[in-house]
Amino acid sequence: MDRLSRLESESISIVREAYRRVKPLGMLWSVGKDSTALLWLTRKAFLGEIPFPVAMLDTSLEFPEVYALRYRLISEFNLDFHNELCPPESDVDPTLPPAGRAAARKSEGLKALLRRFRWNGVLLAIRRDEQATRAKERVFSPRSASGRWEFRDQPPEFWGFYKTEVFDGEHLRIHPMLGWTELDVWEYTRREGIPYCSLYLASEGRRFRSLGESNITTPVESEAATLDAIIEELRDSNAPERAGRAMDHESEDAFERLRVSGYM
Amino acid sequence: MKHVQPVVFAGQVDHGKSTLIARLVLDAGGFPEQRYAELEAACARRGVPFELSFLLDALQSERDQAVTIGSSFLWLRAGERAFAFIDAPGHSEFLKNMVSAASAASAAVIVVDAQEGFTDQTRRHALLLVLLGIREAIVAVNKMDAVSFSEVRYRALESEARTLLKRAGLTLRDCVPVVARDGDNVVRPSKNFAFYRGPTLLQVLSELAQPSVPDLSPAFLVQDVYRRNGQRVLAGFAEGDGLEEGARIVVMPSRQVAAIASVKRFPEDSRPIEDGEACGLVLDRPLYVDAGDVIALVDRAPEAASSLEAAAFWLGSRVLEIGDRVTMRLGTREVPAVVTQVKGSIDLTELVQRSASALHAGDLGEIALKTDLPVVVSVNRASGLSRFALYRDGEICGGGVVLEAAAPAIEKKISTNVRVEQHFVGPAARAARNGHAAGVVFMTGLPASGKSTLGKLLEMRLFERGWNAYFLDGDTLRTGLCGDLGFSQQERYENVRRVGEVAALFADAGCLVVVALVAPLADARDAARTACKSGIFTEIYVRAPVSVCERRDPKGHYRRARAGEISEFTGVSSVYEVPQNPELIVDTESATIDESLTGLLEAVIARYSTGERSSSMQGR
Repeated sequence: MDRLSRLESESISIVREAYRRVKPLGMLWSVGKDSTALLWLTRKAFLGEIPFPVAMLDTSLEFPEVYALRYRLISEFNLDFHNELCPPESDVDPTLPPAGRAAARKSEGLKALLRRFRWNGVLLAIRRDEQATRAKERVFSPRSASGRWEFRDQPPEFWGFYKTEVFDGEHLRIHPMLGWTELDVWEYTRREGIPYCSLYLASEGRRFRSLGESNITTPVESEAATLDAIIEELRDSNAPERAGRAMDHESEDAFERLRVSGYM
Repeated sequence: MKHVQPVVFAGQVDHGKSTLIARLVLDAGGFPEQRYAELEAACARRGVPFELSFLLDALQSERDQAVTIGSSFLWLRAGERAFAFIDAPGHSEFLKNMVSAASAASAAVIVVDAQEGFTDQTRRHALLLVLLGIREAIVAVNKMDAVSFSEVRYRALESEARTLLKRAGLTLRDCVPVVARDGDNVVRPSKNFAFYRGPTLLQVLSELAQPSVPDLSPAFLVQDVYRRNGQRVLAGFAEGDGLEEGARIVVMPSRQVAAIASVKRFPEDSRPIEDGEACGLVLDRPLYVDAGDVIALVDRAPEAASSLEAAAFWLGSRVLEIGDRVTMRLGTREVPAVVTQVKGSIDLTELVQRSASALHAGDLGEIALKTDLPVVVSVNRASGLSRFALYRDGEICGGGVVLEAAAPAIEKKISTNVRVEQHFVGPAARAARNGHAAGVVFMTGLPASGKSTLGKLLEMRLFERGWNAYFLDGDTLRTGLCGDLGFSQQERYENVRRVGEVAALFADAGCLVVVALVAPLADARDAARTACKSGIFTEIYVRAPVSVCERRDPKGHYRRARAGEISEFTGVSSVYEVPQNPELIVDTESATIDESLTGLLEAVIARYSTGERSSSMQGR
């Protein structure tokens, strides 16, 4: 099998392992390229259906194109969908820098979501190559009740064996696509014909490489107006994917603080 | 998309692994300018010189303490090759992070400080790399500037590397002298090494062979079973090529034979299954198959075993000793096991195995394990069926590979020399003497649904009528014939199978057997039906909702199951597959015992009275 097929099969096995061992289970979907690819391969894992709820953390500040694609795919994929409205910025840690505060609304939204459904596990489409602290993640990553990430004391995992037991109040963040790269996701999207948001394509010399809330996400310079062009651009570029995400760059530890306290 | 080679960097803490990876990526042009600027700013704020390793050591505590805590990944495309460099922490406290990192790699760079040389930790890493399946390694002798680029020192370390890797079981690809901090010989050749004309580290990496696809007997590891449109779909993944529709297969360890009716994918596609592929299978007959079972070609089946000898590593804070009970996961199987022997642990200075009574955190050694149920194993290290993890209290505490496997003491094997004897007294003669037909009344239902109560009353009433009736109770049989069985899906299946066989023997003797058994699995009930060859089989679903059974709870089992004191309790933490087509449903929720019994008795008498079977009860 080629690289994409291997990645897909490994991710399917992880999703199935999560479904077998962690109950109740749910999935986060931002309508971005990564979580839509995860949704796609999850349908493959269960032969056309997704046997658990799929939730979006909604700040009401996502791009209109994102909302439009969301409505389309909920019915196309027949999703058991839940929209979780995130609490206002006044509810988050006030010592975070401004964009960090805006992003932390999603951490709070996720906590509320986990309380609402009592999920013991939640599937997320983060990848190691996105960001240096995500590079240190586990596939099955335990979180305390407060959502805290104990990066000093992560369980070992090897050969597809994971810590799958959850103790009181804890939950597992399960990351089936941790080993994929941005380029892998786009090549998979092209091969499979997965729907994606038009904002990723360049318009007037700029495109979004990473989609966040409209108030803290900016496009990057690019002429890539087709999927093929995006793939070509990524093959030649080493500019960081999340350059347009203000929350990552406000201070040296901005993203680490967000993640340790529960951000995805 | 080209292949991406995952390479782990291992070795003692402070020998420069993170710096070497960062240098490789920087000099090969894979380092984003924006990130470079961010790192410069971070170093300036700390008042330290520019620190390359911060590229990987992204966490504040890693930067503050100048040590890698979590393993990390960095990608690089260089010419035609693509790499994922994996940074493994060298600090002994973070050994589990090292294991996690190394298990994702197909090749390794062992980094050694030219001044300090090889340490116990370097040797431990080398041994772990072998255990984790890595076959070849590159040694990078770092900080050569600190030994004034000494050829003598380099030659001494190169020779030591050769001996060490050979004893550990690794092939030494190359031994490259470098200065990671300054970039000598990492990507750019350096004039500082007058004695060294060999390749740079990146050149050696670029010449690594792509990992080849191992030649494995095809096997499908069952991860879960889904019901789709009335079909049982076995979900799992394959190793080795060669399984396809129509293939004659055997389910291990139960040794049931079948054929692959179809390969299930979404969208539908029936091509043969490839090595590493995750898909689904449907068999051509309704066998009971459970997560952890292995589907293999009939003539190339792996062995089932319950006594294993293994090379293992231990990470748990509590030692591993003889007699310890652990949970083992091997392939997709999970099974309780006991440590029957600790054969020895490896002396890291001499690299020889010395006798030991326990494995401590960080130890490597040989152990023997006895599993509670047979597991399907391979001693081929390329097979996933050779690799296991050991869990204690839900935490992964160790792992290893199977070196030797011995078959379980008792195996289900029907020899071709065995044949069924034909009696001179047949079923009709017995029925004529007894005045009723023989057979099995099989009552299934949730615990506390009323099966045993009804069963015993039915036995009594039939006996009073002069019938040769006998009541077989599931719980009672578990104290004797089935005393070796627990409550896993597989053991439940075996329990029902045995009771079915015993009931069939009674029926063959002319009895009307009343069986009361939870029997939660439809496949197992079907097996009991199949076993009853010479009598009439009647499946009766004794129906009451879980909530009602739980209120009754005469034995307190539901309460204990809810409290977590009983695991795998049907209705609470284990599945009950409701009979789809039973001959009779007895509802005990609304009816009184007497009402239920009256209906049951009438139905049974109608069905088994010789010559006057009720038409409403026929049909199966």
